[in-house]
Amino acid sequence: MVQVPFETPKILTIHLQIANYPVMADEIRRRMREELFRRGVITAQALEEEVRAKAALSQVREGLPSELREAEPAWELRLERVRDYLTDFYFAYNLPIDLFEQIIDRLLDERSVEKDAFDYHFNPELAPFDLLLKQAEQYAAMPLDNQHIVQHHLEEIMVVLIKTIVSDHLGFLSIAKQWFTAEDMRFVRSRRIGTGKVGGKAAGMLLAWRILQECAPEVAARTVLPESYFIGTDVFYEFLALNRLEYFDQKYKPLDQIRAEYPRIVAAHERGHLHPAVLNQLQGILERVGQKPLIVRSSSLLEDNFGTSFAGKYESHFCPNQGSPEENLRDLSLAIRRVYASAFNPDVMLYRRQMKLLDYDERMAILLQEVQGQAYGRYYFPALAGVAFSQAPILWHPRLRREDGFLRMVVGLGTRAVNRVADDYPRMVVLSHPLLRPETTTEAIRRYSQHLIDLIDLEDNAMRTLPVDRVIGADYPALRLVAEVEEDGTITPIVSRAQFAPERLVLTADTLLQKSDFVPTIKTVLSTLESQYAFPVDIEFAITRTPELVFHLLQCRPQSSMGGMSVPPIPSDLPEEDKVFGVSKMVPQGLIENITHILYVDPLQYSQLENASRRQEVARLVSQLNAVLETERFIMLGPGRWGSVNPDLGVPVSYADIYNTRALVEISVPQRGIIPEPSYGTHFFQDLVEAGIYPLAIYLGEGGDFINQEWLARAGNQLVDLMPEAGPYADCIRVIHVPSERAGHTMQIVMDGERGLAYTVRER
Amino acid sequence: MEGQNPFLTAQAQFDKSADLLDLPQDIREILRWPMREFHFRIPLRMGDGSIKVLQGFRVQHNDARGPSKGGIRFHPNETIDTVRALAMWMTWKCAVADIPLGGGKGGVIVNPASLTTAEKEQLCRGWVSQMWHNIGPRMDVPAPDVGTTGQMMAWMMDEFSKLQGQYVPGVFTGKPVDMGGSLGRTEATGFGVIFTVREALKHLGLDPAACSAAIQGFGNVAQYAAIGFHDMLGGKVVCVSCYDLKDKKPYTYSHPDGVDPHFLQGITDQYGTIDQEKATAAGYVIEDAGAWIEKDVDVLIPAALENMVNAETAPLIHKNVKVIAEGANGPTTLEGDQLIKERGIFLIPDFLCNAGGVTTSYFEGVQNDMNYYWSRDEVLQRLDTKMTVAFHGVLDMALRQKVYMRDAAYLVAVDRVVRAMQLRGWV
Repeated sequence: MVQVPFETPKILTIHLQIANYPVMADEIRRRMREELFRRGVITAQALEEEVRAKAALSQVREGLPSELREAEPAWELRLERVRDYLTDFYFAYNLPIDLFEQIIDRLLDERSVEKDAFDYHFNPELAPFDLLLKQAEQYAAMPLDNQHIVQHHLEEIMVVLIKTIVSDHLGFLSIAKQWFTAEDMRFVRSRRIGTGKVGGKAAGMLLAWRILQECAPEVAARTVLPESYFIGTDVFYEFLALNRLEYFDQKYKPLDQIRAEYPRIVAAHERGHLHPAVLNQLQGILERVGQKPLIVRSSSLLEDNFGTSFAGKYESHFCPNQGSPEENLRDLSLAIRRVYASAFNPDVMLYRRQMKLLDYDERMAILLQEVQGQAYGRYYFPALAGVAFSQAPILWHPRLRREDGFLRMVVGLGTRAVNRVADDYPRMVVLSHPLLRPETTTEAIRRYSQHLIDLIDLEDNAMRTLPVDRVIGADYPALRLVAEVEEDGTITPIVSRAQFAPERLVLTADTLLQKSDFVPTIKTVLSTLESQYAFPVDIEFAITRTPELVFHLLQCRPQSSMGGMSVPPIPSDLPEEDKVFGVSKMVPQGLIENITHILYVDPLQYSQLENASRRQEVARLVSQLNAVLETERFIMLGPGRWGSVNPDLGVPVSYADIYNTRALVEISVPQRGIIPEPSYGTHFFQDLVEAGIYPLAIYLGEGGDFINQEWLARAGNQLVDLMPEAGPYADCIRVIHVPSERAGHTMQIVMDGERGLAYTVRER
Repeated sequence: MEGQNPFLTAQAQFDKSADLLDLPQDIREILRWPMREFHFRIPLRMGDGSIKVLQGFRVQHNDARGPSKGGIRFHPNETIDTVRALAMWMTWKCAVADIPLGGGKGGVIVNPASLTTAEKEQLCRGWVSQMWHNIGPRMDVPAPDVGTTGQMMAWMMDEFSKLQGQYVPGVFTGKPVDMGGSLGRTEATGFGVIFTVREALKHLGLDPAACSAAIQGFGNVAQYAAIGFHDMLGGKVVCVSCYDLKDKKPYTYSHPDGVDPHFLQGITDQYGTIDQEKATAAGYVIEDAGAWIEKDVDVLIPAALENMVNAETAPLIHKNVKVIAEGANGPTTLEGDQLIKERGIFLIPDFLCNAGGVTTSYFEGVQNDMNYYWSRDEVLQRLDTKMTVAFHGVLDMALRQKVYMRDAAYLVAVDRVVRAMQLRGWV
């Protein structure tokens, strides 16, 4: 121990002592602070606030105007020095000098054993983050020969690091620990604002990239990750506390109340304000980002759960970031507060209740990303963006292979692909046959294509949705990849500038799918990630053209089904009489609950109708029933191809006649030895997908497909009660009210991607 | 242009259009070269019993839009690259006129003046016997060109029909009217020029009856252009010009009240020389050859030779000129073109302006096919419709893409060919 002259003030003693350990100094002061916090002398937050205040004052003292913050390194250095000074000060005036000496002794002890570098002498679960990080880095830097000796230590430390800073969901951890390095954790922390976890969604992109680098380096080399920043979960709690919003204890309230109160909650969040220290850091990010548009996305802890999906449930907000620095900061702060408010969204609450996730302490971290895109005139957007699934959630033809993956993508911001939008259609691609589509006619292809583009209007500093022909000009760099033109009823690729006519553009992306390396790239990405996750994944991606195609990986997570549904297993022990029908071909993943009505067009009766006009009449009645049953949960079950123009092949309805149904089920009845091919709703497939209506087909006598004819025949027909004028068709059209047949029961259809079963079940 | 490889020039012109259209490389590769070329030797038994072996060519540049179409040239300086260039040019010309034909050209390296009539006939039949498997109304339809005549087309048609064992008049066009030719063909090119001039004036909001024109040349095209401008549009033709065989130099003929093209046609000999005496007697003023270009007129129609509007002459164009209609092939040099563009004069480019000829050739084939022949008026009526539509196709392109009319014509042409290739599934 170094001798200090007698009667020196305690603070000077401490200062002089520390001066003797120039390398250990940081760690000594860190431990001093821990003691201060632990013993309640001052909270971490209060100290940090004082550090900033004093730093600002010192800036003035040193002749710099206080409102002008110094550049990042200088300001950090200033903070560090002020923090050290305050640490010494508080320690000296509140805690005994013995304790200070103990800290140094303990540290020296640890360092002497550190020579035995293969082991550590602390409990990782309790150790401070920095110590773990340093230890992990030390292990990772060891010669390869020695790595195996410390591997188990390293794994434990990595698990703790990931749990501390990213996510503690076991499914996520089990994969993340195999791939993340200490360096990654250091990176996450360097990009994190505040403390707490950043959530798996925020880290999913990094994790996916790590996997690609390792397993598909040639693809990783061409992949770009957006610049990202994270706001830790603690900031969310801090925000609630700061604005006295904790009283919004919503989750155990009745749903109606949650719904009624939600607008007030949103308003309160919009009025609230973030902690000045957080704002300060956000300002630093904005300075670094410059004028690039940003997106503020939720990254909640529940979102990492395998098997549940919060896809589209929490909000994301774009910040065009084109205003003055003050405006941009204000907009960014508001966007963050709005995402926070979405944690109280009634739909989320309902979903959590259904999925039994309500008791979990849901916290909201935030992922802040630069929007991937390129400026085109006054607009900013990517050439294409969307979501890709490693397992196709829907198919419409047996040729298509589910395991090759599936895309939903749009020109412009991916919002239109991720969310369902009425009357507009993203490009759906089954990657096994990228150019196959449900539509066959030019008219249908054009109709079921994208007509509106989401983009950022740089001039107006706003997000906009604009018609394709107002945005895309002949000079748009990715024009020929994403668009084709319709001329005289044919859709052809644009190969000459003269073919460009805004009003005839059809966004098919066929050229990109056919002629670029996009399809192989995304297939590699999906299959690699799926095999390493050992679980189907979905990713969000964007493509820009500069002029080379650049693939941007925005997100990766365990695959959610299209509707964000989690599908329970198909019950195996049901009595036969409970089953209504079963399907086994091209079954999607999904669940339809609480079905009260079945609109059943009897195949035999339908085939025996004497002429086409009687069959047209059936279609007309189906259309009316669709309106009458609007408020009910019902399905349609009928012969052959729904929507066929040929009434002999199926009921000749259009989408407008059936849009309230939850499922459109086709019964394929062998006729004279020929089994008609079901349509799977291909006449209006995109409409069905966008509306979340499941197309299903029952191949009678194949693959275990069946229909409970007896039950259907026995059940009472409510057709005439609903529509007295339909009497003459009561043999052909049957409307079955499930609860009338089995009191207290409704029907549900479980579809697990392989098989589907409709059965009656007691109402919950 | 002298000494320059014409095919490289044609490719450069195409490349320029391809750049403007931003065509992909694979499509350019198809269009920069002819799809098929035939090189063959024609043994010709001369009048003295000796054998002379002549070199023949046929190039089919592109037949995406229909059978190849283009002349056969008998010329001592013929080269394969000239034939290639002209074949490519025919592709664009047929496309811009929007007739369902592709582009071709053929030739023989020979000076026809050195052959007797019998030898010429033998040469024509020899050419067909080499090519007959690869020409035909649905494959390739040749026509007369430099050094070949309607009579020669009739011989060739006869040879082809013999080899086929059936009468096939549609295999060649430009035949004499009495042997399957079309009425109106003589006037077609000149009138076609005037149809486009009429549409151009309409576009510019000018009344043709109040307009004047200066015409260079007084050959077939210029004569009917003058008649058309005078008779059909009611405008005033200020001057024409012609080459005087006796003086071995060209002159410009003007009249204070405007020329009467019918009168002048009456005093022009078969070589295109206007009788100076009779003209002077009728009050015509005989001026320098170059005088036509300096006239204070609304419309200039160079309908004589190549390269007449060039760096030296273009600056002399009167400030009141609003339209230049290129009746001749290639009357404007690059420098001349630049000046026209700078001055904002409305240009009707040659392969649009003089497409009346090839359009009537197409009509001839159509009439041969159906074995029913239209009246002269019917032919000219249809020609008017075709030329008017073609003109507006190019004008639309110029306005839409904001390009010069010459570029627009190329863009229309190339685009139509590309579109045909797309629809046929070639690209």
